[in-house]
This record gives sequence, C-alpha cells and structure tokens, in this order.
Amino acid sequence: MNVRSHVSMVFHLDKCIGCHTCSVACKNIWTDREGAEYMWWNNVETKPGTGFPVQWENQEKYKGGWKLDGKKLKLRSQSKSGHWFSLFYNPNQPGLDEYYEPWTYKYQDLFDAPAGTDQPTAIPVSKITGQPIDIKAGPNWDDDLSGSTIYAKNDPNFGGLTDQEKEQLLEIENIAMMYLPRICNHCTNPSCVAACPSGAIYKRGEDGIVLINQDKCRGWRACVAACPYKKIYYNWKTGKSEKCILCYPRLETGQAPACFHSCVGRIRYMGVILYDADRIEDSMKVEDHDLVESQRSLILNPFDPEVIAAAKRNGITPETIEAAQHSPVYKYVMEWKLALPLHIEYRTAPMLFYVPPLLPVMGRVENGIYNHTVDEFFSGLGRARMTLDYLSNLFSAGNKEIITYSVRKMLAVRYYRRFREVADFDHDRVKEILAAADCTPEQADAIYEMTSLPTVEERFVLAPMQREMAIEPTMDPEVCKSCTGFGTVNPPARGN
Amino acid sequence: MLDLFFLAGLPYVAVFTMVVGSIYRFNSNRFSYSALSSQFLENDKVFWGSLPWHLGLGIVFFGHLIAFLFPGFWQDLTSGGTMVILIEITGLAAAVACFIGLLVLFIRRLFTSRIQAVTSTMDLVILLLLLVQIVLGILTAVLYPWGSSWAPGTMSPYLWSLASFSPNIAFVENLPIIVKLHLIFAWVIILLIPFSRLVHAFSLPFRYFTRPPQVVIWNRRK
Ligand code: HEM
Ligand code: SF4
Ligand code: SF4
Repeated sequence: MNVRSHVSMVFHLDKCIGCHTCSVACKNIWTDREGAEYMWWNNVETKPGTGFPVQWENQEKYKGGWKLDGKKLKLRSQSKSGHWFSLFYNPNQPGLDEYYEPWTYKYQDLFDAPAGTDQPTAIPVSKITGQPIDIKAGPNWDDDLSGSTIYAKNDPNFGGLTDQEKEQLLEIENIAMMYLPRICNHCTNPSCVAACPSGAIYKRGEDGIVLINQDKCRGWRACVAACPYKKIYYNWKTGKSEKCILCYPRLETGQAPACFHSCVGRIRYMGVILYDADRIEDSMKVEDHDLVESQRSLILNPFDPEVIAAAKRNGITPETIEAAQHSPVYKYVMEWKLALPLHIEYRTAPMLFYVPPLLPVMGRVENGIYNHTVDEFFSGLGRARMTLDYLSNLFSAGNKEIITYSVRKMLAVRYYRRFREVADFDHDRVKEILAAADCTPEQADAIYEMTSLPTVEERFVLAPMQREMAIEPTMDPEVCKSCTGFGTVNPPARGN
Repeated sequence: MLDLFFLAGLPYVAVFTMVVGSIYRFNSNRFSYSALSSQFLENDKVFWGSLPWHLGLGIVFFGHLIAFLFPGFWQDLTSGGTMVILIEITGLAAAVACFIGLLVLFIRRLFTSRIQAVTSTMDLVILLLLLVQIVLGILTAVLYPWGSSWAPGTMSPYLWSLASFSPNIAFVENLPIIVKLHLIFAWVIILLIPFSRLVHAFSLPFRYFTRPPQVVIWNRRK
C-alpha cells in the first residue's frame, strides 16, 4: 500500500442552476489575457448538448484518453514512436474553430460616430486578427438549447438509447436538461501527463494537482489531443499549453478555488482523499462495466489504523489525515456512493465526482398533473425523462445499476424528508423505501444535511498546504535563493 | 580577403554565437523556448507546409551530417554508380519537399490573417533565408551534379579544418559562387538560431522514449 493524498472534488448537479458564475470567476482571475481569451478552464454545459469544444466527448474524432488493449493501457492519440510525426503536425489537435473565435466590440465607434439619423453600432471584431467577424459560435452557444436539433441531437452520449428514449429527451415542448460544470479532473492516471513529449506536465505528490511547467513546455500540443476532457488549451500567443491549476495559490493559503468559492448554487465540495498509488494503472484495466467500482477500490478508508500508519510512513501530515476524515468527498463517493466520475471509460481515473441530477429525472407531468404520489418511488425511475441510460453513459460507463443506486438513494432521502416534514404517508412505507435504497435514517439525515445545509467549512475541508514548501518543485531554493517567491522572473512573452 | 571573412571568420562567429547564445537564452529565459506552433489558428496549410518541410529537412540534414562526419565512408558508398544516383535522387526529392513546404509556410505567414497575428519580422527573415538556402542547395545539386562524390573531397575537409581550429579555405575557395553562397547562408542561419524560433530544434524530446508515463513531483524528495 502506497498511500497518497489528493485534494478531490464533488459537484452536486442537483443544485447547479447553470448561472456560469464559476466560469466568470475563473476567467477574471486566470484567463483574461491575450492568447487565453478562448480558454474556459471552468465551463458549464447544457446536457444533452454538444459541449465545449464542440463534441469533445467524441473520441473517434479527438482521440483522447486511454484505450484498453489486451492487458495494456494505450494512449488513443499517439504511440511512443508515432509521436515524432505528431510533433510537426498533430492530427488530433482541435483548431480554433472547434472552440470559437474570441471577439470584442468596437465600443469607441459609439462615441466617435458622426451625428446622423441612425443609431451608431459597435461592430464585433476578432480578438485575434482585429478584423470584423461574423460571430458563429461562442463558449456556450447551446446554453439551454437542449431541445435543439442542431446541438442536442449531436450529443455523443446517445449510445444504447432507444429511439423512443431519444425522442423523449429531445421533445421540444418538454425539454429535459441538466447542467454540467466542468474543470480539469486532476486525474490520477492522466493521459495528458503520459502524452507530453517534454515531460512538462506533472502531478503534485502532496495534493494531486496536475500542472504544466511553463518553462519546460515546448508547445508540442500532444496533451491537448490526449486529454479526453479537452481541458488543456493551447495558448496561441505564448506557444505554450495551459490548464486549470485548481487555484493552487489560493489553496496554499487556505482559500477554496475561485470557482468553488463563487458557486451560487453551492454545489461544490472539496476534500482530501487518501488513495493507493500502487494500483492506479491496474485499476483502470478492467471492463467498462466495472470501472467505477474499480476506481472506488483505490480510495482508502481514512479511519482504518493500517491506512493511517501507512499514510504517516509516506510523510502525509496528521493535519491532512484529519482533513481526510472530515472530507465531504469521501462521504459522497465512498460512504454514500452517490457521487460518480464523469466518463470513467476514458480510464484517466478522474478525481472530480458528480452527484447526478435528480430533478430532471423525476419531474414528469401527466395530463397536466405533476405526479407526486409515494408509489412513484417504485415505478418512476424506469420512466424518468432524463433517462438512466443517458446518465449512465455520462457517469458510470454505461453501468445502469450504479447510476440507479445513486439516483434511487437521493430519491429515498427526498421521501424520507417528506415523511419527516409532511408525514402524509406511514412509517412502514418510508422504511420500505429506505431499505430499497440501501439507506438508513441516520444516513438519510446526514445526506440531507450535507446537501442542503452545509456551512462553508463543511463544504471545503482543506488541509494546510505549506506554501513555503510548495514553491520547491518549480524553483529549487538551494540553487537560486533569490528566485524563490511569487511569479516568474521574466514576463511570459512569446519567444521570437 | 572577403573569402577569408565569410568562409573562415563568419563560421567561428556563427557557431560561437549559436552555442553561447542558445545556452544563455535557455538559462535566462527558458519560457521562450517553444515550437511556437500555429496549427491551432490554421489547420490545413500547415499540414502541407510543416510536414514536407521537416521530414524533407530530416533527410537532407542526415545526408549532410554523414558526409561531413564520415567522408571516407561516404566516398566508399558513393563510388558505385547506382548508389550515387539513388542518393542524389533521394536528396533532391527531399530538398524539393522542403522547398514546397517552406513555400507553403511562407505564403501562409504572409497572407493568412490569423497567422499574421503571430508573425514576427524574425519569422519572415528566417523563412526567407531558409527558402534561399534550399534553392541554393537545389541549384548546386542540379548545376554541379554528383555532389555526393565531389563534396567529400572539398566540403568535408574544409569543415574538418574549421573543427580542428586550423581553417583552410583552400578546399572551397575555388568552388562555384552558388556553392559558396550555400555555405555562407548556412553560417548566417546558424548565427541567427539563438535570436529566432529556430531554437526549437534543440528541444527534440528524446527523453520521451525512456521516461515512465506518469510524472509525480514532491515538495521534498523522499
Ligand atoms: C529537431 C526537430 C524539429 C522539430 C520537432 C520541429 C518542430 C516544429 C514545429 C512543431 C513547428 C510548428 C509548426 C506549426 O506551426 O504547427 C515548427 C516550425 C518551424 N520549424 Fe521546426 N522542428 C524541428 C527542426 C527544425 C529545424 C532544424 C529547422 C530549420 C533549420 C526548423 C525550422 C522551422 C521553421 C522555419 C518553422 C516555422 C514554420 C512557420 O513559419 O510556421 N525546424 N517546427
Ligand atoms: S482532465 Fe486534467 S488531469 Fe485529466 S487528462 Fe485532462 S488535463 Fe489531464
Ligand atoms: S456557479 Fe455553481 S451553480 Fe452556477 S453554474 Fe457554476 S457550478 Fe452551477
């Protein structure tokens, strides 16, 4: 057992209101620069929908992630020898048009226009060329357009759905949709790291944050192609690749990342997870069906004395172990088994988990009446509008039992709370419901409290991260005493 | 006198500047080392430009290197008639690929508006120099054929004389002007390496073959 700690995340999709505050908070801090305008380290997608960049989940097209080849995991995008040719031209790199061309408006024209009979207009101009452009796409072009035949119909997650189910999802007057906020998953088996020819991408041992060393990156773009979530972006100005840094400068000073901190729906949880680093790769070598369970088997119980001893042997601080014991992520992922990884079939072992959305699943209106009888618990799931097949393609690599378990438990908690608050059905019935969902009253209370009433301290349980040491991976203080500090010595200007 | 400057002085200045300049740049501004790919902004022409250029260059470069390092071996190799023809044809084909690739890259730099946004003067200078250099090389091959058999007796000893710090330009002094220009342009391009995007050629990622797929870095090494 080789215990490592990881700062891990849960997004509770039932609470996401699709406001994009997270995206804007991130943009204002990190990507409001030339070359990075088009990057959205945090973005929020409407599902069903095509996403950003367009159809990123279509790995036939983008070749991201790992594929299981017999007993080996292989990158879909390149082999060790074939990557030589991709240096000169990378066939799997998305181009600007698959994201969108960033633009601004000529606001000054509003002031400078000569007096006339028309209202002056501010025309859109490209932020790259400065020339007027015809805006054809944006980072969120299909926001709330789930009934759309142009966008939603091209969602790559419809595999295994019957025609009727698809129709049901896309029915325009009856749209069922959900929001999917996405950041880098800070995977434990990251394909971006494995693909980098320069070895510039690394995972921090202490907290698992995946970073790109900007001084080592040579702009080969292999990582852009290899990340199945398309969460590495190429900066066209500096000629370097960039990605979400999980706001590590904030984390190191005890603050939650900007997107977490600003989240209006308070859907975001952050906590320490202890995991077994010896078995990472092997755990991703099982059939799709078993991947979720296999990843769970990596995560260790922070109360187990053996795990604690092994963690201490590995230099994990007592504060970190304590944080792991109070981790909301551990509760959601391991104790309650509600939170699931996004597209685990890419086999990167993502460390960001999603509680699937319940509302669009159950919100069914028949003959103008919202069906809310208790019997709905036992019969309703199969008729859910956001079908379980679709959700399982997103969150459990097609394994319907796992997604059903999670959704059913959330539903049970709802009925349990209704029993407690309204009491319009009897005790035996609620017992039956909880038993069917593998839940106890205590657990239901805990889930309810963590979902609806958590304080900031309960949502973000961060271990102290020792900034004075965290600087060392990038700059060795023994070598350059004056360089250790904040920022870089040179401005990050494009080379000649 | 002019010959002495361009064929004996310039080479030393060029190589010295290249080595010292590149190392200095690497140590003082490592961030600026990048291939500066523009594929993201323009995805079609770069395929027909970058691939033929670099792959062709690989072959041409390899040919030059072997002839320089092992002139004896090269001479043996090129003493048989068919071998000479084979080598000349391969070299010429590779050079033409380079030429086409560079032309596409050059046109792309000049006329594609998105690429103009990331084009520096140095980019254009380098592309132009390389273009001229390739044309000079092709002209040499066409006008003074069988270079693979005459070069080992002229170019190689000249380069070796430079490398052993006893420059002897007599080997190349009397070569045709086109061949001499080809040499001079080579020195100029080498001179400009540390001041241009050409430093990316030093970034060839050999370590990728041997490194483990995952990289984990700790604050304090255990
Ligand atoms: C050693 C291996 C080399 C590698 C891996 C390499 C790779 C690359 C890459 C990735 C690009 C960017 C292409 C793009 O826009 O996407 C590039 C551009 C370029 N390379 Fe290389 N290169 C190498 C060697 C060389 C050498 C030896 C030269 C010249 C002597 C050279 C000359 C150029 C030039 C002039 C460009 C600019 C093309 C443009 O204008 O867009 N390269 N190279
Ligand atoms: S999600 Fe993040 S860690 Fe995972 S492969 Fe993509 S960039 Fe790498
Ligand atoms: S800020 Fe929170 S609620 Fe708003 S879109 Fe982002 S994740 Fe959803």
